[in-house]
Amino acid sequence: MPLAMQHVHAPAGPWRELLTAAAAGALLLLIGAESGWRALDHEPSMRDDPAAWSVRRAQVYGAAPRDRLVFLGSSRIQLAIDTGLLRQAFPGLGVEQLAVEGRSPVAAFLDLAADARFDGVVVLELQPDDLEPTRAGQQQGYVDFFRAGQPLERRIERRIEMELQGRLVFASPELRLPRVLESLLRHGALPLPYQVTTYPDRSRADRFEFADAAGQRRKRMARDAEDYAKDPPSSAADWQARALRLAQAGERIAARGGAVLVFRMPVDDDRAAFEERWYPRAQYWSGFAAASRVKVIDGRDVVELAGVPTPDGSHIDARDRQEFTLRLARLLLREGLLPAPGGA
Amino acid sequence: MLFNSFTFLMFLAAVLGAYYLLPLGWRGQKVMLTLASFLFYAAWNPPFVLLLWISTVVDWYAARGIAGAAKPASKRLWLLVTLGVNLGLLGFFKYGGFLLENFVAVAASVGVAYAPPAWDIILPIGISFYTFQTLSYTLDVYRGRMQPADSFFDYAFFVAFFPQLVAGPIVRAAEFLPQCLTPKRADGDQLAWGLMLVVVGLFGKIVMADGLFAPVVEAVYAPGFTAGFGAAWIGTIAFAGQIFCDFAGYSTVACGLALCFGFTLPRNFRHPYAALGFSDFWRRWHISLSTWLRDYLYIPLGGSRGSAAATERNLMLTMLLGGLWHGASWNFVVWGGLHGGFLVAERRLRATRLADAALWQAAAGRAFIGVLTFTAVCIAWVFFRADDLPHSMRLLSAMAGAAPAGGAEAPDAAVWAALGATGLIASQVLMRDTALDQVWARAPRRWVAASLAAMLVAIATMPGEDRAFIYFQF
Repeated sequence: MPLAMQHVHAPAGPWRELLTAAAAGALLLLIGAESGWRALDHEPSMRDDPAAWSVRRAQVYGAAPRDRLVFLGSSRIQLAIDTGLLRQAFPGLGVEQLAVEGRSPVAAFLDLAADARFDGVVVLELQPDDLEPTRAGQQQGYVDFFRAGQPLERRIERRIEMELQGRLVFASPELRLPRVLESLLRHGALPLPYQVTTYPDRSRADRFEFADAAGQRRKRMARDAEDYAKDPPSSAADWQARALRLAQAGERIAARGGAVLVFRMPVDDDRAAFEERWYPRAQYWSGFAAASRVKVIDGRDVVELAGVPTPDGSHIDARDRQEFTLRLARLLLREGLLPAPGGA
Repeated sequence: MLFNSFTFLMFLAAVLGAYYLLPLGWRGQKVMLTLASFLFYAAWNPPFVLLLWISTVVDWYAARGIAGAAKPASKRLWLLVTLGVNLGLLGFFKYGGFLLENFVAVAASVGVAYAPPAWDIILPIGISFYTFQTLSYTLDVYRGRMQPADSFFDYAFFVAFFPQLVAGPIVRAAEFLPQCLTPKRADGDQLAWGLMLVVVGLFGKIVMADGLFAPVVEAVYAPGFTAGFGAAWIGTIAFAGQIFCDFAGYSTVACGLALCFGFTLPRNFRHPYAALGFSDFWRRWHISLSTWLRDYLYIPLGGSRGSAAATERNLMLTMLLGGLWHGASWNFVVWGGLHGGFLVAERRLRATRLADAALWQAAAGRAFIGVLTFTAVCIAWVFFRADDLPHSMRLLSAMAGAAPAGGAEAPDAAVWAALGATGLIASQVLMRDTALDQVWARAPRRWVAASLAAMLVAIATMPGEDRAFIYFQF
């Protein structure tokens, strides 16, 4: 056979009609799939990754001090806040969710503190072990991704993906074709609705009705106990020194006209007892709260917050998210961290 | 800009709209496509457009200089200029770090400790492709095979035309420039056919390469993964599937896009995994590169005109350099060397009486050669995919059944990858002497429409991690 360069040509045929028919067929199938998934209680959900985080991180700059509210932390705060509700309640306030599941927020907070352009309000959700040296850098990869900058094309691309995945169930990463096929092959059924929904602005909701909350609670406590036994907590003095350095970084935000609340999410009694065993509040948190010059609040001390149930011990259910958000907003108003809506 | 992105879809819609709806005239349409191609390239890293322009301008003037030179020495001088600039840029950006790294290693081996500053140079995307494209133009003018282009705009358009700019097919000026002479306009059916090829190519990339094969390849070839016998084989076969679907997918999209504007590009793949022997494989895999290497390297080296030993030397040199073209690492050199060795071995076998045996014409004999070819190609792929030579050797040991105790088994997704690879190879064997588009042109219309609809649905329901085309790195 000669080694010739044969060009690709279009053969004669009714390709326009054929392509139109195929596109129409595909559209019908996708509409059917969308309706079917929704009927089975699936929700649109976005892929959360450093690129999505960076898109939101770029939005934290406001026109005036304190006209941006930024949440930092891990899944506890990410699952607890209804950002849309806050935007409705505080017209003109930009709300950004920058918490990352399972990762200490220290690196992201230090980055915001060092950012001379940032003068918004930060709610820094902190768990005691977030300050351990082995965990403190867990969000550094996200910060580095943001700082490295992405070409405009990649940023636009990610933005479009976020909007589509946040609106169309069939575009959800949880319902990728291989996963659906695998579920059909292994269990003979379509995948069940995914417990956690991620919205286009990175806020999330946890639908415990589709999960074994008790099992998750047991698993998480066992895993944390194992981790703490392997890598025991720092001494209270070391911990407090690190916490105060973090608070000092927060003072830089306050000096620019912004504000910081270091906030510990309320948990149920079981989880509180577990955390107390490893990080006794009197030795760790209370001393830091007393010495810090930025506001420090333990959610368990705020009656209206402590009353919100946490089915797995530490995470709020999607159905209680709005109530918790409103209560936290009231707390922020009361503490003078947010201006009253409409300046009232 | 990636073909498998929403931004590219918007870009394509805008460019197609401008091409067909604005009253630009033929020259205006070409200028618009050229500017759009620069934008397409700049979306990745704007300053590197300058390199594209340098390569374009240098070869434009070099070709004119060659054609206008009265003396052979002047022609050679112009040739040296173009070779120096093009290969110099390629060498600096692509091979600088590799050369430096090896220089340091050699110096260390003779007791000289040399610590150069870190080589922090980004490889400009597609540089290997457009460098070969511009070089072929000047070399063809030098050898008197074509006259220099009359229009700089046409020439710049040939170099930059976005469907083939960053990952081929490597187009020859002699094939493309004549297409620029008369206005091109695809009718509705041609445009639809082009878009159908785009869908087929994207299906290969997004669904097959990224969705089906990549997760298995990434698991098995992860640095910390100790593969057992089965995992090493399935991971490597999955990589054979991934790289074909990725690269052939890109080429198919490129050909389809060109057709949308009324242009044609060369076919780059022809069912390579149905190859019977290694020379057959290279007639089917990355055809535009293998023909380039044949015309501008193998034949100028002497081709098969000399003794058997000289021919084998030329084959080995061509394949070693072809391997190095893919990337600056010893793994690619070994990969090229292996293919060179396969071609030499095949050539020697063909010279024996064994090659005349009737067995090879029988189905069983052909199947045996096909399996042998595919197996050897897969063994070479290990070097192409692994991180370095020790990693390659560990995987090859596992494939030879000498995996260390406790070697891990294939990940769960391997079942799907194995099914996908089987389907891919079977389809290539069945369509061995034809092409997918030719099969489609003859198939019942409702089947074509149904398979296209299925592909569109599969593409839409495969959101995943962003994966660039593998050949972008070359």
